[in-house]
Amino acid sequence: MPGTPLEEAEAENVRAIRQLVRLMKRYDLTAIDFVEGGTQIRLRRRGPETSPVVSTQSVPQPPPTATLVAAQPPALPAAPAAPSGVVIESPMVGTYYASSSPDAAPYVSIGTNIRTDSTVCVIEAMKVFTDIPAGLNGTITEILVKSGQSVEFGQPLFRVNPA
Amino acid sequence: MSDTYSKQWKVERFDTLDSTNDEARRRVLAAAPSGRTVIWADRQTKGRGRGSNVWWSDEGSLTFTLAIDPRHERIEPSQEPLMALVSASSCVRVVERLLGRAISIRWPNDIEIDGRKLAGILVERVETPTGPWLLIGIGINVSSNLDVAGTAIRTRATSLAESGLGRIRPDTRRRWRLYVLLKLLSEVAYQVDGLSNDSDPLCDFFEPRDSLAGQAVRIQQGEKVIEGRGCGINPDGSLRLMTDGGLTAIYGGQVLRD
Repeated sequence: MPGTPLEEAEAENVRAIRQLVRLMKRYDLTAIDFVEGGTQIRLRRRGPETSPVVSTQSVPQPPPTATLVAAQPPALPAAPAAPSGVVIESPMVGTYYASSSPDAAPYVSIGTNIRTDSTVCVIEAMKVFTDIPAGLNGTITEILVKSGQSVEFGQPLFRVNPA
Repeated sequence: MSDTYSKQWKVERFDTLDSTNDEARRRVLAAAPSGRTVIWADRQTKGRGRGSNVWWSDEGSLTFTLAIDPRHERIEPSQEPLMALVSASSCVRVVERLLGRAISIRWPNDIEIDGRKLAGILVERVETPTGPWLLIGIGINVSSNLDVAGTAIRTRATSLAESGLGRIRPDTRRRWRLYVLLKLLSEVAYQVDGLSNDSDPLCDFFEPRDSLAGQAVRIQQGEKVIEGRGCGINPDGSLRLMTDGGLTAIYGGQVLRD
């Protein structure tokens, strides 16, 4: 049964993104800018084994490591000091879980020392539970989400004081 | 990534395990298996489901976990979230052939017959020192005695025997479990290869079996509940939900049952 024009356009966008991702992998491309009519798709890829970052749509993308972003310095000297450290962002859309089960201890808490390969949380998308590794060495200084919360691609999850 | 990876299933059977997913996790973290691996237990003492849910099973249940390396299987990272759906569709194909009747899927991976759950699937992506592995835990009620499982399970679950296969004699239970396992291994291998070739779109298979299509659906995401009407799935596996705010793609959360 055909969907509405809006639904079909969305499905077509998803198909186009998947096709472009395959092309990036096949030809080892690190960037694609695709423009057709009113549709613009920008894809960036960090390396041959990492997943592309899709900027037009939040398709779940379980990557080898979480995305790390340095905290911004204060804009003005008189402004309140921005939290220091590095932010671990969600690498995918889904539901954030702090532990492997509600009865289990959380993977990390404030003050936990983490290594690059430490699992910091699990994110579930479509009943696939993905371990999220820290991606850096350091100490957790702030947890920015609650267990069970829905998270978006790029949403800050933890603040970390790098080692 | 190891150069050698066997696509022949290597099956390891245990009388009892805490959880086949937990054993598979321990295996892949200790050392990368040499290829497709099956951890099969006659009995689980701590069978897991989603969150705090436990997976009830008895000697009539088939419980196992498949461990596969997504890179050797040529599964793109963007396709990994589809693995629960792929596994569910594999189970459905096998069960439909066994029973000779259509059965339904409740997004993303509950397999139901007449509204009762026949099989459960738990997929985990584990980071290991040598790269990611996918663990696909499957529990299917072959000839389970649901009368002793408690009211909550009794009213919501079914088995192959109850759903048309007929009574299975105790002395043939093991043979039946092995038969279903072998059928499933063959089908999962075929579906995984199909996924890497991007053939046979899942949404086409899903559509006529979608138990949420046209139904009022509530999705719990943390403290938030999203309400809408089921409109099938997108090619990326997300649920299409028509809400008051328009068509929404749902990637996570729990479908609430009334």
